[in-house]
Amino acid sequence: MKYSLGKIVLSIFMLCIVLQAEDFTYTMHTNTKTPYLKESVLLDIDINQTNPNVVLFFQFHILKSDAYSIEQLSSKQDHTLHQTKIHYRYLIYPLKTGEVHVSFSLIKRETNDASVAYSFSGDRDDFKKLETIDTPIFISPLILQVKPLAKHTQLIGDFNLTYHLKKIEAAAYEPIPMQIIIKGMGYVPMIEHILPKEENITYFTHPPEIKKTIHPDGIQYTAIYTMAFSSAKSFTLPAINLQAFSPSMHKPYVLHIPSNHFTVKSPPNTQLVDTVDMPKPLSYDFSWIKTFFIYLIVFISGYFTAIAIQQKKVFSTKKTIPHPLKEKIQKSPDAKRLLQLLMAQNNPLFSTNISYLEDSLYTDAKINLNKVKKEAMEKLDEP
Amino acid sequence: MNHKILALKKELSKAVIGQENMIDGLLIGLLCDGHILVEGVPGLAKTTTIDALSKAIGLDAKRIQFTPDLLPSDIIGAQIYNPQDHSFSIKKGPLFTHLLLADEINRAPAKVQSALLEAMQERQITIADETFKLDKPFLVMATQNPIEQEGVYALPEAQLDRFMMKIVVKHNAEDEELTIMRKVANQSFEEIQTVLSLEALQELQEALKDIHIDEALERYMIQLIAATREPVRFGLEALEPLIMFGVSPRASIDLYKASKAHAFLKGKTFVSPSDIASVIHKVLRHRIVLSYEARAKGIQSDEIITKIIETLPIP
Repeated sequence: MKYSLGKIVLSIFMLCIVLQAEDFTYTMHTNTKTPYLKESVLLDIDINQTNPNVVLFFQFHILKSDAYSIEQLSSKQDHTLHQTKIHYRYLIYPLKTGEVHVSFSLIKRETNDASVAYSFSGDRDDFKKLETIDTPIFISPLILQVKPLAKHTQLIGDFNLTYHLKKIEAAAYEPIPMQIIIKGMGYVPMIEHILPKEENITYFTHPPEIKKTIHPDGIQYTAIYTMAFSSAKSFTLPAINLQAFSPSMHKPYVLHIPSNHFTVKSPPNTQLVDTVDMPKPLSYDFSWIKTFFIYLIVFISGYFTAIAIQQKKVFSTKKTIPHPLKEKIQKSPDAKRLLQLLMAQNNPLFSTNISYLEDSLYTDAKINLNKVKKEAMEKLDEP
Repeated sequence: MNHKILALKKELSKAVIGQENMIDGLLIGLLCDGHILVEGVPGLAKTTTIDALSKAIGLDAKRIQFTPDLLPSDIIGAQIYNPQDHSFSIKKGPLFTHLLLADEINRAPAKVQSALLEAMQERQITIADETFKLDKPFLVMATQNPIEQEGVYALPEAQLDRFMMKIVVKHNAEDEELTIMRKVANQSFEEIQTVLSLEALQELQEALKDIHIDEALERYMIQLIAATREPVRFGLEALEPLIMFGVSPRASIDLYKASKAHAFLKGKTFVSPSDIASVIHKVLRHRIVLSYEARAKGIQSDEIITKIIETLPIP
């Protein structure tokens, strides 16, 4: 009696909030206000413009929260100017028990025909913004009384389970593939550890592949769990029982995979040696000797080169390299040529020599050219 | 040597130890109304020299540290709005001075360099609608740091040409550095006195005109300049692939003026070949545009100038 009354209440319960605003009306309609934890609540929102004298646009969304998750099923928007009609359909999954508040945001964007025409006159390179007067509209939160589920419930919705095992006999350590498919309408069928942990069995798993098909009244999920396991000896995979709850039937049910026995045949030890990828060497590998000698030769040549460079430096310091300028000074045939040479050096060291030479050339002063040369060369030797 | 120059050099030596090359270059620039580009590592008394020179002649001196975010209005000045009387007034920038140290000129972007170089050339500054003549003398000593070349804006050749001379400042001799060390440690630098008035400086500039230069030497100078443009004509075939562009006519004018100023500084009444040789490296080194081949071989413009002097016969 209690459940049938609830069923009747749920089936006909409609949250209908009609706000007769000046320019538009909006209605909200849910299929239930007392869902179970993670049961989908179907929410319909209709926004209709009632004042044809203005141009209206709307921005609507459900505010995000940790207490519920949202999926949008459909959206129909008729933006005929002066007659805007919008219909949204959402699924809300409550994630907490007790009272859950679902909050909304609605902004009315009012404008006129001239502004719309102006905004349309723009293009990609000359974008013209639509000028609107935005007014936030307060919508009372939708309050859900969320009922708890029995402990250890893993799936919420109407699901069925199929599984595929390709073989029940395998060689030792050979992976045995298995696929489990859970399909139906309800909350996303994501189960962290679908296989029971057993010692001596190595599991190869990865997260399930979830496919989502949106229907007008809900979402159908297909979760494909692909896995494999192996063992050194025969083993029995225990039966798997997934605890599920059907909100439409208001009762729990179990998805069952029976126990399976796997026969593992151990190969003889001789066959365990990989003769294909790691064959016996045909001859011993002496390439390391070659590498060793290469390194040795490089080291010896580097060592002796360093010694040779050092020796060369010692010898070269003993040699006396004639200063190129000294040679030029020595070879200067006359005072003018010597003056030219010393001038070109741009070196204040030779200023007195230059002065002597200029005096001899332009004031007829007598100088000893060889003495000037000698003095100039001596200056080059000064530190 | 002219006694006024002697007194000036003596006064400068109170603050600047050694660096005669830079001091001579600055004096030549001052006498010839030229600007000086100085290249040298930091800490070689560039600011000290400018300060000392300004004090010794009683001139204004300012320093601008060129940075990448400097704007032309930061150096030339700008129109400032006065909200009290709703009027604009001119705020003159640091370019309005006699001696300007433009420190690390190649750190500022081209627009700032252009603003400075325009003022150097025109010797006037226009802010908004008003044009201001710069006081005489106006000497810019711009510095470039040869070590750090990351994030700098190299001066283009046309702008380098505006500098009369490029002086390469080297480290002091060991004895000089010892003296500097002791003087700085003991703070025993003497106070610089003003030994030369502005009028006296103008007299010295006028006196330069009386320095005689023989026509043969004038032609020698023209040949030295021409050899940078057409080295083959002067038997310098080896230099042909090393020079991309020879020097401009500004170089011959500056070489002429600098040679006379050098002779004047040495107390001579005439220019001799050694005066030309003493300044030619400074006048030409930043004006010769080296070819890629020369740069690849690491050849400096100084070597090319030396080769030209060695080859062209002196009169």
